[in-house]
Amino acid sequence: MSVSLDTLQSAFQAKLLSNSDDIMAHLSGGGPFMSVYEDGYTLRLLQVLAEDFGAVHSLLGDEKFETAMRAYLSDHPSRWRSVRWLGAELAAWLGDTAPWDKHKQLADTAAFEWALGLSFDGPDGDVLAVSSLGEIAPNNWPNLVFDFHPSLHLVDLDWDVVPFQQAIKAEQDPDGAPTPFAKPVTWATWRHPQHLSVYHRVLEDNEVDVLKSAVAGTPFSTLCEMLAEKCGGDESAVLAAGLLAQWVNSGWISNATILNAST
Amino acid sequence: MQSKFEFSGFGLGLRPQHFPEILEDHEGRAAGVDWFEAISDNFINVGGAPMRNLERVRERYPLALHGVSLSIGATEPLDMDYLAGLKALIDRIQPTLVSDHLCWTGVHGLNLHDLLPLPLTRETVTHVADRVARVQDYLGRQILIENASTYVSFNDDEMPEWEFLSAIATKADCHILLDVNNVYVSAFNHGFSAIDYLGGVPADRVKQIHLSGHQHNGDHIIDTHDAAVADPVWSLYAATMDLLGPVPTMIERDDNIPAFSELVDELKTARVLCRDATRGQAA
Repeated sequence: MSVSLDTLQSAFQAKLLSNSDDIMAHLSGGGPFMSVYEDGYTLRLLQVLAEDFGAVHSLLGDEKFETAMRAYLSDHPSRWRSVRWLGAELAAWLGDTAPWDKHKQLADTAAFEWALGLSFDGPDGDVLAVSSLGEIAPNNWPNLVFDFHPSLHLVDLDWDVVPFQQAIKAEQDPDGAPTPFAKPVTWATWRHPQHLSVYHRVLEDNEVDVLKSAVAGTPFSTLCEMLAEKCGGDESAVLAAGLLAQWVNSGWISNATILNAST
Repeated sequence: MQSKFEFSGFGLGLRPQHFPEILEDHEGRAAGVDWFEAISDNFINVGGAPMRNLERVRERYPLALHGVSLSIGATEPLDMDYLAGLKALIDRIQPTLVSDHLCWTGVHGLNLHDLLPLPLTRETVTHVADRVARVQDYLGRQILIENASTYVSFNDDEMPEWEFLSAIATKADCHILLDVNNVYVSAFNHGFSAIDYLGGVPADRVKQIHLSGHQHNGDHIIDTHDAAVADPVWSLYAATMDLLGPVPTMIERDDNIPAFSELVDELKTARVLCRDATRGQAA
């Protein structure tokens, strides 16, 4: 009996995702080579995740990595057109899903690897020239807000996973397994505006909340107030100017605009 | 709708491992490659080094864009966000050709990232041809659809694959990317004649040829793109050139990627076979 294309595709997909056999009755000769599709689906996606999360793979080893990734794929079948985004939810999943949630270094490692990838090939954007800041009138500085480059990503880590990840990426033996930080640390990842290499660095204590607020659109005057609370009023403007210069020199800022400039 | 098909000769799939050789080759086409084909999905909404390298290749060579996720045969609505990204990439890169596969990749909002087979029915012809026509309208250009390797067929099939492909191309007024390796693989897996296939497609619509390696498992063959083009596929390619005349031809390699020079050498085989098979035919 003829069945609709929609029915056939739903049944075919169910075979690959949940091993439902409804499709088999519709295949010529019983579909003796259907396993090519079944095997290929899992192997292909496992390979993608292994390439995108090399350090997570090293932490877990082959067997546990495959177990974890099969479970991840079951919970998060791809909704993406490009397989590039397959691992988008992996860090959060590792942090929330037993038994992997007992090893927070896995989620942190995945989050850091994902941030590096986003910085590598994320969309291009404008880069604010240092000279542009000198053109801003002094009375406009309090209302200045900033747009940040799409390659800048901030990742909060409880574990010191970066040396391990860097060693794995360089195909070297890591000095040891990741260890927990005494308190959470925020890293920035970004790509150089000219030669496009990806960089990462730890944000200083004074910098974390200010940068996150700036990314959220907080005006410069409020950023100065935040720094004044942390470091004392006298130094806050100098500190804020120093941070801003560092961000601009790193290519983190795309644009500076004056809030309510039209009113 | 007007498309330009000024490019000709022999190309390679563009792979990141080969960017250094391609971009440091100041002789350009003297390297033995006339054009490259990039996987469009890898460059949609992407920036940084991948996009800069793509643009640098495009400055030196004609470039075709080849997709794997259009899912032209799926029964759910076309993904307009994906098409918008593809259109933006086309505007930026100005490719000579834009192609994707005659397949589906997922339904219900999911993507299985594989080239899944379609039942060869009149219903499917109508469905796919309508979607190809809508894609072409949106992109403002003709696209090429490529025959995929398949490992199962359906009880409901009403026609051989070459009739299916030809009917869709004619009905949608699109072009064909004929993958000769896929013809060989599917012919073996389903027991039809590869020569019948070649003779059954409209020659004037075939604007590009793909060649690649496969894995022979005795009772079936898998299209793996991880090895050199097999001898029987070279023979079939010679027969293709004899039947169709010279068509721009390229080699795809997606795994076990060898040195760039090795692929350039492999491409010489295609040049020789095409030249010998089409000697005396109009270019």
